[in-house]
Amino acid sequence: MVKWTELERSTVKAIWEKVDIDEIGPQIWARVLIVYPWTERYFGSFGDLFTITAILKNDKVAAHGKVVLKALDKAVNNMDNMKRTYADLSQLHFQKLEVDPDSFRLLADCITITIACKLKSALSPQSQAIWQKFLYAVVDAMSSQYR
Amino acid sequence: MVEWTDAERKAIASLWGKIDVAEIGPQALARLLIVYPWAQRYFKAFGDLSTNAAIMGNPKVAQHGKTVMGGLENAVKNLDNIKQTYAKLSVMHSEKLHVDPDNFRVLAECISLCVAAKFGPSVFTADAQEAWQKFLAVVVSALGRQYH
Repeated sequence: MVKWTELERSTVKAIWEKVDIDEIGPQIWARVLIVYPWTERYFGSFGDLFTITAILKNDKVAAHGKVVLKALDKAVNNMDNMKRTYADLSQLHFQKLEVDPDSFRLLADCITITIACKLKSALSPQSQAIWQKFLYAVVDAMSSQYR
Repeated sequence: MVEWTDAERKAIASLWGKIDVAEIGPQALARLLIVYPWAQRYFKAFGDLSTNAAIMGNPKVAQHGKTVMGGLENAVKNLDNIKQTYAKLSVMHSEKLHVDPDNFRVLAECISLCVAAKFGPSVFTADAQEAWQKFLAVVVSALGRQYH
């Protein structure tokens, strides 16, 4: 089980408090699809993803970004229990959605970049270290049901 | 050979034009040493790296950050020839400095984060991020190329 210090818990919560899911979620999801375009393979039903402009304007992309960030909220509130918290979601992504687990790492990268854009120097090196530890734990939990 | 679209070339040149090497370089290297502390093993000669504050105030870290970031200029000016541009540096990091090439990848991550934090979402747009991270991925690959 991942061990968290008091400082790490409060830092993760402090960062998360500054994240507006409705604002940041769509940005993060658009970045994933633009920076790592092969991830578009999972979103055939989302309509036009052919250009950067299309992705940035796509309502389904925006909505899905919010869904994913809402799920991250669960991790913030269950830091001592992430594997169990995400067991069902991990199963779903493995067996039904057949998502390559490396995608979770790419998503984590875009989450961190988008938050850095928003928080700027407030995402200090120490905060970055803690936030990335948190996201690695999430990625690990999301990969846990893959065999 | 890596293919660059005109949009990507423009995005990279535009970002590079805005980046102050002396500002971003030190920040990126300090973040590397703080977020990935095992990287400190390569910098024993740099003096005090025992705390985050020490790392962030360390003049050798700052100087080396500037050097490394400045080295990206060669890649920006030789987008179609990055592999060859960095061949000697790659050999040096492998044979003389014995640096694990995974460090290039995490340093690139720290650089991207510093650039994002400096410029925010209106300059470091999704397409700017795509071009920049592709650029750094090519640099990382070139630096690891001469390892055997």
